[in-house]
Amino acid sequence: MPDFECRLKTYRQLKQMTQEELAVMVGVRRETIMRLEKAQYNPSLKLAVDISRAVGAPIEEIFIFR
Amino acid sequence: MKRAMKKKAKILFAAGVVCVLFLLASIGYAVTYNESRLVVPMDLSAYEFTIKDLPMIVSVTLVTVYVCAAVVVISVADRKKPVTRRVDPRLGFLGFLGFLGFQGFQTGPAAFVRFAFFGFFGFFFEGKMSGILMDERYVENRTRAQLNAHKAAVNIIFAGLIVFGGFLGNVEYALIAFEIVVAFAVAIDMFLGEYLLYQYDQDDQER
Repeated sequence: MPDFECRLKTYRQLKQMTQEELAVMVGVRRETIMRLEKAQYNPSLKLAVDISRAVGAPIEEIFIFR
Repeated sequence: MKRAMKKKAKILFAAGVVCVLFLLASIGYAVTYNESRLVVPMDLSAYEFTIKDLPMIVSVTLVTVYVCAAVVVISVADRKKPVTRRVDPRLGFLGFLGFLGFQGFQTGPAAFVRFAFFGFFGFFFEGKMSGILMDERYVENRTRAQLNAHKAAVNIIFAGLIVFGGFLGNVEYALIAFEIVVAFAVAIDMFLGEYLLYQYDQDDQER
């Protein structure tokens, strides 16, 4: 299990986006977004960048590695 | 997204119909009023342009452009949306064909290879995962599943070599034993690849 905290849900809700909408925007399945929000999946750098652009927040604020 | 794809498909279809209708009309015109020029085979080295050839030239050009555009649109759409192939889970019943392998005891060694058909049970799990987007997590899970399936298959073959190596005194029995082992290894590889992929995907969602 990746040892990191994920604040994606907070930023996604700030943008008033659903998981499905975000998933379509970044080209993944909704289940992947769900897992990301639970910090159960360690995304690739490309996906992290895409998500960061989609929610308009810096990567280091979305994914916090300890 | 799906609506946009459907709209694109409709436009592509309509454009195709228009092109074909225009081509048919041009052929009709050429046959009726232009002595079937450019419709029936003709010596193009002695070809001389006449204004009556225009409909055929334009329609053939249109169809060519349409085919090129359709290929580009379809390939781009395919690249944008990599999805798993559509498989009916009921195809998993084909796995029962594996029992045909038992015919080998009556008809001869070649039939033992049919034990590999047990691997078709994997279609059941492939069917459950059919038509879904192949995102990076799916690709990761698929790689992990296939790796573990291959490992299991190789281990079975290796174990078979050790266990049935004792038969080497009788080459015929040893070959039959190895044939059965390899057939089962192939079946395990095919089945586990799909089963583990499904399991990893489900585990991911349950956590």
